[in-house]
Amino acid sequence: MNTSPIIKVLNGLGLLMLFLIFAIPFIWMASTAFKSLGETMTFPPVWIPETLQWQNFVDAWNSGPFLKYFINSVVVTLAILVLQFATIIPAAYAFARYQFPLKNFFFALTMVCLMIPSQLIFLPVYLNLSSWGILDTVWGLILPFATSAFGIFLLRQSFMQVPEELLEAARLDDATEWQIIRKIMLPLAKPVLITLALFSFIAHWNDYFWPLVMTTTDQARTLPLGIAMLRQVEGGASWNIVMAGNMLLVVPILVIFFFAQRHIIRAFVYTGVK
Amino acid sequence: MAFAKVQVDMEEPKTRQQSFISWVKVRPYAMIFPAILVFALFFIYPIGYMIYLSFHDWNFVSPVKDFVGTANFSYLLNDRDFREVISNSFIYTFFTVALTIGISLLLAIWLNRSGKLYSFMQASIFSPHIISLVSVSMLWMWIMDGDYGLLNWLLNLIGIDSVAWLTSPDYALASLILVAVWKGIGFNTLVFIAGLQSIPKDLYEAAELDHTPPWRRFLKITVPMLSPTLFFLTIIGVINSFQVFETINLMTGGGPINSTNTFVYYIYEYGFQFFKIGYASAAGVILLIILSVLTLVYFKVLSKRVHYR
Amino acid sequence: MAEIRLENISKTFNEDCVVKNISLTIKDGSFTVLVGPSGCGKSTILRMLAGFEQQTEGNIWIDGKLVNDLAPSKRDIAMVFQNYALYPTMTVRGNIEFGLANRKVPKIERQQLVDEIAGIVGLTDHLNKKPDKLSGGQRQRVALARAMVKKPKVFILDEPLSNLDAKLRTQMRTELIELHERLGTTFVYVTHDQVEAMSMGDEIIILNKGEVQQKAAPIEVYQNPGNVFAAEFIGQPPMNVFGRDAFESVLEEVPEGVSSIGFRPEHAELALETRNVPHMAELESEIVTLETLGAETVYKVKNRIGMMNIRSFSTPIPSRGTCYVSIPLEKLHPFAADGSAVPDTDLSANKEAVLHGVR
Repeated sequence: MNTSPIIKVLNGLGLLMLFLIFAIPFIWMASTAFKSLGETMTFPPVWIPETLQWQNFVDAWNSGPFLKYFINSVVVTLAILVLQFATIIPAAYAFARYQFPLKNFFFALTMVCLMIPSQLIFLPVYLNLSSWGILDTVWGLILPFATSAFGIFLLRQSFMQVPEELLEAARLDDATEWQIIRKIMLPLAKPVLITLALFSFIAHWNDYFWPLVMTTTDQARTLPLGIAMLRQVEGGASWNIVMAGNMLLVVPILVIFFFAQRHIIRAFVYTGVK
Repeated sequence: MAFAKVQVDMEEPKTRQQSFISWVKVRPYAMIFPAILVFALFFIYPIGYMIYLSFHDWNFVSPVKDFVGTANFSYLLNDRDFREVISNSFIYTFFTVALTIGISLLLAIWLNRSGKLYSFMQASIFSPHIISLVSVSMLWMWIMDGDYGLLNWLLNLIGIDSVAWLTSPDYALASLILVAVWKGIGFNTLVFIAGLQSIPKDLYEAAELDHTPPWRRFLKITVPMLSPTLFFLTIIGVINSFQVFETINLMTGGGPINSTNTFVYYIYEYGFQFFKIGYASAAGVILLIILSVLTLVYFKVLSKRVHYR
Repeated sequence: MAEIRLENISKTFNEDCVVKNISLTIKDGSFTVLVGPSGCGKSTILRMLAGFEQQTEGNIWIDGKLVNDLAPSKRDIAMVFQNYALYPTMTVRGNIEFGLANRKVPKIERQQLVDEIAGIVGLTDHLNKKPDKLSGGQRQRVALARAMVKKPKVFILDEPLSNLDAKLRTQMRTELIELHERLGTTFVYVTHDQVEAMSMGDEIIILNKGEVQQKAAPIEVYQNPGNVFAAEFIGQPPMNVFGRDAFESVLEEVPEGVSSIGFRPEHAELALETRNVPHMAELESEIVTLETLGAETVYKVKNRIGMMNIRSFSTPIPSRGTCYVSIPLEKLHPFAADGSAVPDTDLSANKEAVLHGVR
């Protein structure tokens, strides 16, 4: 096919436009993060600040117990990852490889839970957590996500594709079920495990809704909450500080995205949920 | 590890048979138990509890929960605010999903090419999807700022007056839809591209041999082959839009004048600010019913489709 | 080394009886082939033997030990799977030593054993490769090595050659026979390919619909098929078998109790002219098709008995017209109404009474 140069130029311009629609907000964020307060309040806006206000980042960080938020975020995200793997792997293996009474019932239950969003059940869960006394603790942020119906579903699919012969060979080789999982199943399911880990990490690192509902004090608040609260500090939004804070949240994720782009896109696209 | 037990039992010939067989029977349950426990505690039980609470009047503090029958539901259905919530939710969902899917389909056809440039473009439009909704919301609040916002500056450049994006009841919901579309386009486009790439090339080759014009190829091959993807994205989009919360909470707080109040935000407000647990639960039950119907439709159509293939 | 005994073994899957009350003994050190069409129950028997499937009824003994409730790994057997079942994420060495490592065999000993076995099967240069870098034949060898390294009492091979191309299959057949001679271990080999069964086994067990049809040495199966099924299953093309009626027009007397009679395609002779050889039934026939295979020719002919295959090693007859088929009477196999061979009936006894193939 030969396209005329005019079409090529138009196509190029179109791509540039499209790129700008998605890039300009981020550029705008970065630009604002380095502005002085005065520069944020000029109209028409300036794009390049006179001097780079690194101080904005320090101010954002010091405007609340951000070290605490950061530690909470790390603890919550990592704990969820570890617990999810610990519960998903055996469950997916049992669903994929064993026959047992009520298996279909339990699997249907799992599928029902796959369909229940946290936005639907936060109120009763909140009431439960409060009666169990773990409201406003990191446990309240971790335990409800200690397993993932989605993870079980995905890993089960992957386990089911392993030929039965392979397991029989391993059983003849005196492998215990645990060794079969560790030495045969998990290495074969590696791409799915990476997908799940990335998916889970991004979802919980970014999560704002659950910590907002389940925490009332700084002792269990996470980074997204802290960033969101920047807006309420000192009576009004100092957009330069707010954007600097958001840079702290966005840049690490964008960096990870840059390096694991293919994995992340696959994680989201082929898994399809949210 | 629990699995080590088998090994130990194996050492004793006397009891080996017995314990091996019984452990084999128990093992699957032991393996699914942790996951099922979490589901039971944090998904199944809360749903039941929510349904229970929806028939009661409770303010969260009082030790008694009064049974009120369906009073909470009739209150909600007669509540002007709640009816607004429902209509807001439907408007938000309809426009968000229709716009996202329409634009994404066009972008997918445009960007479905190989090469570094196009994969860079795909990654670029996908990037908002992995950013925290906190940052997306705050970034767009700043862009939509009435006085110093970027969007109004752009409008002024092309000679249009400034708009009160988030502070006017006429525009606030539309602004939220704009943000949702911006965030959702990348994901939808990439799913469409994956769908396009799964259409067998020989279909197009056969059509070309038959001298089928390009637009007919699009209508007769691309659209039907893409319809499962289209359906999937529509349902997922609808389900997700019905649960919108973060952008509303951060950008508008349901206002101005209730114009952006939607389901989840309504439940949140009634539960956590007005302590009307009964109303909030009843609203939750209504949302549950809507989501269940959507999910059922999804699986019904899906199983039919699989059947016909 | 071990003898295997199956005692009244039955297996039922959801009311569906796939193995019906089988009792048999597999001799210590033998190369026994279970052969039959798909669905005959051969794989199920194998899987029950290995312990992957529990028999519905009956007992299995390996080396004098009742193994009914023993886990597969405790039965002292090794298996070569149809699709090799190599662990894809492990190297060749990892594959071979996996079982040893699980049995806590010390590392140095393990290494020695692996090196030794790798030498035997010719894998020494490939020990650090992953299975996906190997050819089909090499994978087959890894599977063998993995089985051998455990020094089992019984080798179970489940259609191990079915994924190889024709040339490699012939070569591996010879290698397996040599391996069996070298190890002297009991081999139980499952296949649906009668050529494999005939060429490899020193005992063949023919199965159909969950029942043993015949158990004998290959030559015995060929010369004295136990029943119609065995007769038709072994041999290429299969034995020609016709009802009693068809032969009544050829033989003067067909004894009581014989309901069908068969003969092998290669035992009949084909000529362009009538020869009237004694002790042979001659039939005027018409050649329908012929397949020239080089050393031999397979004719499909039609005559008054019916349509039959004739396999001839003499120069092919080019024309398709009339010919004369002579069947030696002592090569006729009579079968009873239930399909079983009628052993002491010599049809050649009434040789003088043969009606010649004149219309």
